[in-house]
Formats: sequence, C-alpha cells, structure tokens
Amino acid sequence: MTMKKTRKMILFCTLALSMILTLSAGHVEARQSPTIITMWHIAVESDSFYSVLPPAIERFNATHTDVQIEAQAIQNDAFKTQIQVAIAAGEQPDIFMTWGGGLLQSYVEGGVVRDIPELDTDLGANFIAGGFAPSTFDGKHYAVPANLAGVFLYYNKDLFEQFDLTAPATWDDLISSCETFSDNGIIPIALGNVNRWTGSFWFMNLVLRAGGSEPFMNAYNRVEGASFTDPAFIEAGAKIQEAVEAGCFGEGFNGVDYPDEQLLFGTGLAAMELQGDWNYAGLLNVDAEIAENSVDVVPFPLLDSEWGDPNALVGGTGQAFAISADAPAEANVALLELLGSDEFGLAAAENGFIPALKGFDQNIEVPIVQKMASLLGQASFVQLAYDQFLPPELAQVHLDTTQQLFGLSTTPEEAADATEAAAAEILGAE
Amino acid sequence: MATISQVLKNRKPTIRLSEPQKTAIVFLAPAILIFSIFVLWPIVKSVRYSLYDWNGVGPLSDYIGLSNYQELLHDKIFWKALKNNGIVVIWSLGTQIPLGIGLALLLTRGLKGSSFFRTLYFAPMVLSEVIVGVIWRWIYQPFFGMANAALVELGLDKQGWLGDEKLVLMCILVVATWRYLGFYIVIFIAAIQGIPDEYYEAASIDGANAFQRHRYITIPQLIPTIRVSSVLIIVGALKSFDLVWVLSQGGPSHASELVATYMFKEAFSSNNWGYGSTVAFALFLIAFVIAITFIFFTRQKKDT
Repeated sequence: MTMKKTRKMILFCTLALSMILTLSAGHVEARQSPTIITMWHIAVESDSFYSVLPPAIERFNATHTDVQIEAQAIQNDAFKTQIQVAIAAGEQPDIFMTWGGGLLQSYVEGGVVRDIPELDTDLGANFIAGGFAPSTFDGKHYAVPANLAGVFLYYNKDLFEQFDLTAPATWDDLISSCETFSDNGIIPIALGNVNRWTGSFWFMNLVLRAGGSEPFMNAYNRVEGASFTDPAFIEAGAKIQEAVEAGCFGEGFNGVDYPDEQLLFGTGLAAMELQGDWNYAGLLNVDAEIAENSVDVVPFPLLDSEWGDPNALVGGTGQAFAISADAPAEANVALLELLGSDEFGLAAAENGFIPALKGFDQNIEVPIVQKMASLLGQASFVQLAYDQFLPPELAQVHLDTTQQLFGLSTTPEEAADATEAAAAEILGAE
Repeated sequence: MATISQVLKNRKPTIRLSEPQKTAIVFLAPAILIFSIFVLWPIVKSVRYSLYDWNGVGPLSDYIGLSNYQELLHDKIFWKALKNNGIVVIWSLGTQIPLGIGLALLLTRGLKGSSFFRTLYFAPMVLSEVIVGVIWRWIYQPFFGMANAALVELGLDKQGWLGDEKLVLMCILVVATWRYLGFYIVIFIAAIQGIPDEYYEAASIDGANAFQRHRYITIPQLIPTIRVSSVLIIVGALKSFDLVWVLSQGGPSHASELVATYMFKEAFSSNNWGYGSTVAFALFLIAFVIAITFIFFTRQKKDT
C-alpha cells in the first residue's frame, strides 16, 4: 500500500513539475521569440496547391528571423465553416484564404479585415492588376491574390475525332455534337450539379454570350431599367433547358457531385466539361494519360457566330488571402513577400496554376495551362463568379434557381423573377 | 404540549440534505456543469441570436425582435423542410418498428443461421452515417452506379435517383432504413427474450395458436420497448442531418431539404446567423414538443 502511495505521489509531482516547467518554458520563449503570424489556407495534402503554398511558407520562415508564419491547412469545405465560426467569435487567424466578392465585402463592413495599401506601392508592382478586382472595395484592396482563374470548355480530342467532330465554336455546334455523342452511348457533357456552382458556370457563360458584361453588372448595381429579369438572363435559362432536353448532361446530374464530374470526364466516359483551369490538376490525378494526350480547352461557344465576344470569360482570382484587422503590423509586408516573390510565381506556374504575378507565363510547362493563361491574358472582360461576387444570401438564390433550371422544375422567367425579387430585397430596389 | 411543539419544529422549512442526497449532488455536479456549458448555454445564446439580424460578422447590433420568427412562418422552404421531416418520421415509424419486430421474431425462433443474419442486419450500424452516405452515393450514381446497372439488366429505364426531385427523398429513406433497422432488431430481440416463457406455455395449454400468442402476449409485452423506440425514431428523424447532407445536400432544389440542413445552409452558406438560429430554435421546440406529447399520450393509454 505504502509503495503504491509513494509511487502515486512521485507520479503526481513529476506531472505537476513538468506542467510548471512547460509553462515557464513558454514564457521564456515568448519573451525572445519572433512575431508569430497565424494563417489558415486550404492547401491540404490532397489539394493541388499543396506543392505551391506550404513550401513557400517554409521558405519564408527559413529566411526570416523576426517574423514567422504559423500556417494551418484545412480542407476546403470544412474551411468555409470554420472560418465563419472563427470570425463570428472574433478569433480569426491573422491571414486567411478568401475568394473575395460579397463575403469578403461583409467582412470589410464588419471591420474584420483591414486594407492592404502596400499593394499600391512598389511591393505590389509585381502583381497583375486584374487579380485585385474581386477584393477591391471603394478603391481599397483587401486581399492578395495567389493565382488567377478562368473557366473554359474542356473537351476530349479523341472522342471528337472518333465521330468526326470539331470543338464547338457555336451553341448549335455544341447541341449537335451532344446529340451525336448521346446517340453513341457517350455522355456528352459531364456535370456534377449537387454543388450548384458547377451549373452556375453554364448560366454565367450563357449570360455573357447572350448579353455581354452589362446585364449582370447593371442589375447588380441596381441601374435604372436594369434587373435580373433582363432578356440575357431569360435566354441563358432557356439555353440551359434546351441543352438538358437535348440530353447533353445525361440523367441525374443534379445528384452528381464535382469529384464524380471530374471522374466522368477524366476517364473518357464524357466528352466535355465546363470547368476552371484548376480542374486540370484533378484530371491528371484521375488519369494522367488521358489528361496529357486527349484533353484540350476552348473558350465557351458563341450563341450566334455573327455576334458576341469570345474573349469575354468567367474567371477572376483563384485563391487570395485577407488580413485580419487585429493582425500584427508585420502581417501586410509578410504576406506580400510570401505571395509576391519570384519563387512563388515560378512554383505556381510550374505546378499548373496561372500565376497572379507578371512575367511567369513562359514558365508554365503544361501546354494546356499555358493556353488557358494566354486566353485569360487576352480576355476583354472577366466575369467574376456570381456566387462569390454577390452577397451570400443572394448567391444562394442564384445557385438554387440555376439548379432548378437544370432540373426543369422552373421556367427561365420564374427563375429570373425569383432572383430579381431576392435582389430587390437584399440589394435594394432599382 | 410537547408533541405539538415537536410537530411545529419539524414543520420548520429547513434545507437539510440527507447523506445520499449530498452524495448525489457531488456526483451529478460535473455532468450538470458540462451539460450547462455545452447544451443549455448554447441554446440560450442561439435564442438570443434568433432575435437579431446578424450575418456572423461584427457585433450583435441589429435587434429585430420576433421578425425572424414571423419570416419563418411565411418561409416556403422551411415548411417544405418540415413536411419532409414529417415524411421521414412517418416512414421511419412505419417501417422500422414493424420490420424490426417481424425480423426480431424470426431471429429469436432459433432457426439455423439466425446469428449470421443478426450480424448481417446489424452491420450497417457500425458504419458512420457519413460512410453509409458515401457508399450509397456510389450505388445511386446515375452513370456507373449499381442501381442503374440493375435497372438496365432488367431492361428498364435508367433513373436520375438523387438528381431527381421526385425520387431523392425516397432514395434517402431507403438508406436510412437500411442503416437503422439493425439497431431496432437488436432492441426488439432483447425485449422478446425478456418475455417469460411461462406466458407462452400457459397460452399453449389454453389452446392459443401462434398468431394469438403474438397478438396477446408478445405485442403487449413489447409496448414499453415500442414506445422507447418510437421516441428514439421521432427525435432521430427530426434532427437527422449527416446522411442527407452527404447524399444530396438537401437538393436538388430543396426536394430533400430537412429542417437541420436548411438551418445549416442559412447559417453557413447564406450567412444568416440570426435566421439560422431561428430555424434551429424552431426545430428544438418542435422536437421537444412532439417527443413530450408522444410520451404523454402513450403513458395515458397504458394507464387506462
């Protein structure tokens, strides 16, 4: 008994002592340590950005003694929830990933993030100015872009050749090639529309082709006479339903998710897919041989071969990073150094991303990514994704109505009316 | 005299705890503390949020009283979600209890292979809901899933399953039954084994046939278990989230929306934290009231 008691006593003392020691060690460290900047990003190991961002952070920490970045990678979907909970509790990290747009704007209005004036100085001269668009409000920049993004029509060259088809340049081409594929038992277009933003790509591109850039921007800015019931939105809805009825997407696509969409196209089961440049890294994972030899991209087809601008596209910033209002003062410069370095631009280009920095296009080794980068470079207008640009509540209405259009459970007019009604409530009357 | 003063003394309201009561308080304290911090306090907080128009950013400043609750009453998606929850409750009660009892009766007859089947039925229970969801997503996959492959083999048309607004809820209910049936089978097996054999012997001597034995012995003896199972099913069905989230995210176009998924979407996708809290509190009230009413009514019946 006494033996046991002594042993317990010793154990207790050791534990208590070790706790005190670690606590005091922490204190000593805190006194001498460099400024710690916390950072949340989504480049987990399975993410294609994993080979770009984490090494850059390591490089940064190795070359700095006064400032250290403590980064935490969180999977994309979990990140969206966690960052909002953290912000609601006022405990957001110093630097965190953002897609800009309406959500970031609400953070700006809530005083959660601070502006980054350094982007207008020499420190920011390296960045392609277009990358600031989604995160600039009232002329102030609130995020530093890490890469640019564009949405293109992916197609499988081998399948097109097999049926003597060429990449669709017009909407009619697209529909007729869909008919050929579906007659031959091939899924014409892969679409995983559980996620809804996937279907939104179709809607946004169709609006761009049907009415150019004005209908959306005017409706958003509540310009007199403009609204979300503009003929361009109605036509976009009608074209989506035309494609659905022609069997372009097969059956049940509203219940398929994005990874499955990638799988369908990446394995050659489907002939086309409308996706962002980032999709290519995923296709390489599905089947590198098909991705390297059979896949190509074209801009979204024109509705009318006589009218429309093929250089207008959907895209914008890929990932960007915002800075918390209560972050250490060093955070601004640190973030610019991290994402603005030549090494970072090079790493992004070499890993198949479109850098947000000038002068790295020639470093993109993959031809298809090079093509996407140059299409984005020539773009006459870049439409930011509605679901990121609009206030979150309105974005949800847009995503819902678009999914309903695809499901043929609403008409283009009803969908437009519903979006306009929500816009009038959220953005204010015209 | 002495007795009267003694009585008065005893009547004096003193808070004197007996030894066992003190012990009980000491042992309950940690549980009550944790329950208060992680259950009661969040409920109170969320009731407070539900009175504000709050997007989760910045301070709670926009007090709007009961406006969120008024909006809720006119919210078509909320009513649709509630109706879907109702369908889930009715379906779960209508399938899991009869099937659970039926299969439990078969499995307790000592037939060959019954322990094998018992394990088989229980197997889905050991999988997490998310994993069950992922597995069934593949089964329902419209282009290369098992469900459509089976239809094609039978010479029938392919279906959109989770992508079809008319089918999606049914698809999810089938999975839910598959997942939970085993649990109720086990509960009913335990209850059936607890019924004394003497009852059956006596009934047999009186000349009762198999149907009568079950009708007049087994079922009445199972009533308490049926009641507990029903409460579990009702509460479980009202708060279910994981399976639906993984299978369909409540879509397409809210066809399989449940109150819990709608709450999540409002809070985390639309950034309507105030309104999301309103939905959450409404769900809490509904589940609470239904569960209490159910217990109350089934008790009454037993007494009379």
